[in-house]
Amino acid sequence: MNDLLLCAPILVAAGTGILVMALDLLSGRDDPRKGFLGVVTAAGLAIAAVLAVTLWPGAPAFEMSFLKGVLIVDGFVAFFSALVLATGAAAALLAVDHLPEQGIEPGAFQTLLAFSATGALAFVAAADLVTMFLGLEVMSLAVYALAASKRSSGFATEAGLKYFVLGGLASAFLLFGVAFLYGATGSLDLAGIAAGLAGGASSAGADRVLPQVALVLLLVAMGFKVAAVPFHFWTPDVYEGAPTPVTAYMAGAVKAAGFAVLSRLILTVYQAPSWGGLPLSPADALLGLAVLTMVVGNVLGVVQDDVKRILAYSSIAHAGYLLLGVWATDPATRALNDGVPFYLLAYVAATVGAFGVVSLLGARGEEDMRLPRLAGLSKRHPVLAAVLLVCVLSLAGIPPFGGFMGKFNLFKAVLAADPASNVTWVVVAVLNSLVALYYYLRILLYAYFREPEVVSGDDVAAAGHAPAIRSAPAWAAIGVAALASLYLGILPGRMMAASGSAASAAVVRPDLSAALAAPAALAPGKSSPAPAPASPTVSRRAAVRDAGRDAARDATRNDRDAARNDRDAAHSRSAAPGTRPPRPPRPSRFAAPPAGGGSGR
Amino acid sequence: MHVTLLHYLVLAAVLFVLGLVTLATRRNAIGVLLGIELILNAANLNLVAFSRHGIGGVEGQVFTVFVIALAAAETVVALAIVLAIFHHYRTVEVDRVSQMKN
Repeated sequence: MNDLLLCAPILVAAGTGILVMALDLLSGRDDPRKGFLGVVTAAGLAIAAVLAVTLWPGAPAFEMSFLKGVLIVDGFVAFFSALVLATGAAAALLAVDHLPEQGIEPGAFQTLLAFSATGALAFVAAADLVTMFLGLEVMSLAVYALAASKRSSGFATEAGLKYFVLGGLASAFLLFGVAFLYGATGSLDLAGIAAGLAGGASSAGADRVLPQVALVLLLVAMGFKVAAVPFHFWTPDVYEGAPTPVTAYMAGAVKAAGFAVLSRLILTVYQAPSWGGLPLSPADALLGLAVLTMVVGNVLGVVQDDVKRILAYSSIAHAGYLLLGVWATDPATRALNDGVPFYLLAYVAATVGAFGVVSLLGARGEEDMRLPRLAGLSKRHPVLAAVLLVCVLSLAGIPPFGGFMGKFNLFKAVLAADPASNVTWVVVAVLNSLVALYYYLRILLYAYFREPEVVSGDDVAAAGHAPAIRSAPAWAAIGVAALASLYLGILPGRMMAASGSAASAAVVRPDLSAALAAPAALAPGKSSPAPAPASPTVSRRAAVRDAGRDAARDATRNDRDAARNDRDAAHSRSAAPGTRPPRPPRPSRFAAPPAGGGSGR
Repeated sequence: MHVTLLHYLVLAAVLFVLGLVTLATRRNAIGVLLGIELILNAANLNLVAFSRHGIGGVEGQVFTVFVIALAAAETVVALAIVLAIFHHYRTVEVDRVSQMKN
């Protein structure tokens, strides 16, 4: 029962998908106004978001009995789930009147959107790699279909194909990396892998080959998902070709979920600051990706002429800043940098708002979103222009808006992590923000200061008068996005606190102290009390693995009681002076207990 | 000859590389799809091999069953997209499916 209650957000999201599918069938095939399906989807996802925020942050891990090693629910998962669900709801509202104009079937669209959000929740909340992979695929498969959902358009189908091929490749890389992690540690849950790798890091170099290869594969896969350079080349084409509400969902929800899992996976599996003792450490790789992503994203953004492409490169550049945040872990707790969740929140609000405005300009199947089409927007549609202004300035990081507070807090936290050496990278990031200002202001220049060119003949519509869709639900969505951008910029305190508590829960801590202090004592669960001399590495790894699993399992399991009693006795023995087995090198890694209440998680 | 874990890993690595080469060289969308399947199956082989010969339990094999089901679902979506592509472009050659300017 507890499990069902704790799963409620996921179940509600999935139920929304099923409900919308049923309503679509019941409402008749040729119903001209199927917009209510979008409203139902948005309502369902919003309810799920509210449930996630209320149920999950306070739920201690041990409350779940059946789904113990499958899902983790905590403040981190609640924060990102709510973000994903809110973005999904916004995309559903944006789609209400956009879809009929574009000739897209609304029933299938809204159903897929709800299922994709369900997958994203499982992806974010996964405690083991099987659930994580399942969630990723459920999320991605729905988005592949959504991207190609405008079947009459060559752009959309091309976008769908590109996204599918590169997304499928990324999933396959992820799976290959997961297989190597499994081979290195014999475990598929995050805590168990972390414990296994920490045990293996102190031994011979051969043990590091599998985790090292796994790291590269995981970073490639997650780099594709969050659109980091050099795995970004699908992004502009797919964002441009996909229907704009889908683009908003991809740039917001998929990227937020990707960053949530990227940071949890990398920081948990390769516990900072030791990073598993790898030759190519995750820190170096993340820093390299971050700098490359920022620079390339911003430089290529400058030369674009299409609003959707500019926003696509902007989303790549923002991935760079976020990667810098993930790289600079909090120095005290070695948890996720507390600027990252807030930055994502501000970025998602602004991006959804900006893409929302673009989607409202796509009436009657218009796909062309080149900059000149924005000309005169402030005169024709002052409210849309104002929303665009707020969102674009927020993305650019101009003071009264959320993006500024996000950047400020993120860079401040990066500096705090290591004031002496990180200053270079913060300067690089700030210079990048200045470059980005050019293309953001170009959008506003066209919207506010250019008059539509006078073109003769058939090009009149194409030249300037981008027809806007009248849609109350979409206006509500972009209004909320713009207000959120303002709120985050002016009164960031509450969300900063939420971001901080989310970040402190980001790293799943394996219970390492027992495993490393008394490796021999852990064995009775599976083999003889003393490790066999012939294969010390394997049995120690097995012992560590068992310990990780024990820590992650229900404390009342009867069949473990005997083993646990043995271990407790042995543990107290080993704690006595003189009888303590030799610790592996660098014990300080595990000496400092995490401050944020994350121990044993 | 005794078949060890290493043999499986080498075979999986070969499959992985073949999959990548297929992806890079095939112009036909179905061929690209086959390349992705090859990589997924290479990973499956790794999971099963680690489960049988390594230090893992049975989880690896369970995971493989999940992955096989997912790969089937992925193929369905991919073929639907390929059909839509064919309707529009009258070809499934990926390098001829390109309207976007760069």
